[in-house]
Amino acid sequence: MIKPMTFWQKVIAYSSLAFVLICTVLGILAIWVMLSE
Amino acid sequence: MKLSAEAKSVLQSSLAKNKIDENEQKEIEDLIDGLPDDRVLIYKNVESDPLGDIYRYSIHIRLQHMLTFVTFLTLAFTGLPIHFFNASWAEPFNSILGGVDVTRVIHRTIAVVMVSSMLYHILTLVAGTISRILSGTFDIRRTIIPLWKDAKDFKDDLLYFAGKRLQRPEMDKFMYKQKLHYFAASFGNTVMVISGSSFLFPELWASILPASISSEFQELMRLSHPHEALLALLVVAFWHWYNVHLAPGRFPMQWTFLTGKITREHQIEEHFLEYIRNLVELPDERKKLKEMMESRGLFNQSANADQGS
Repeated sequence: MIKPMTFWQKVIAYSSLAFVLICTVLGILAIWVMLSE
Repeated sequence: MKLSAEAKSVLQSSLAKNKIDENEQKEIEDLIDGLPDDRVLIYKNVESDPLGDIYRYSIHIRLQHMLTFVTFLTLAFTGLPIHFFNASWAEPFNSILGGVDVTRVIHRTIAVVMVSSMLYHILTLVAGTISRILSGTFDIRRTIIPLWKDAKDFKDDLLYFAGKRLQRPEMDKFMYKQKLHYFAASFGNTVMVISGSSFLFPELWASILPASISSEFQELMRLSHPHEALLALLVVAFWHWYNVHLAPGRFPMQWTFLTGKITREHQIEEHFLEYIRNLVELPDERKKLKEMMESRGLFNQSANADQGS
């Protein structure tokens, strides 16, 4: 059982998650455009 | 809890390496005896700090990860627009940075930082290994070196995920997946450094290699550099980020890369053999585990009494 995160811990963790998800989406878009050109 | 032969061997070697006296040894053995056999019950019932409870990575390893993380992304976001410079999507990337000539300078400068980080990592590995050998605490099972056990763990973990096994295998400090990922990254980095250096220093490579193959070598390197980069990006996005951000138990983020600590729950679930060593090395961890198990009614005092009688 993992204790709940504090507000600022959540801010850091979810921003980091958002960052990698944005990078993943950008990466997928880049590969898709690359393959379609 | 009845330990497997592997866990017993880890416990014995850890007791010997840490020169644990008889009283403390009895305390450790009693604690292990009183734990439930079902490891799932243990890791589902211990309390963990999301930022981590047990020390795992030194400041050097964390710094190297940060350097790799920053340089890898910067190199990918400058390298791809250099390779596909006339593609529609690459033009804005290059223009933001001041044109493809500027992107090239940034890419090469960051590449020097990445190579320095690799050298720093090699230095840490060599110095850490020598110091452990000299202090008599070196244990190959605790390193990233792949062993036959990893193949067995992989098979057992697949059986567990297929519902054919009740518990995950007892894995060491680095599990099969981490070892595979580490060597894939090492191979990828080596390919990138060799191919990248062949673009920067073609004369040097031509002077080292036989004249008959140096032209083919350059061609091979021109092909490898962008393809290995794309492969690495895909591995990081779909494998590494899944494992550290999205996997059950890790969501929304595993903090180890910042704090250097792993949660107690994660250590027991995926690195149980290392947790056995933690129980030997950290008296405070023994106390905490016993209190947590007792408070949940999961510590079997009679197991110790039976042993004693």
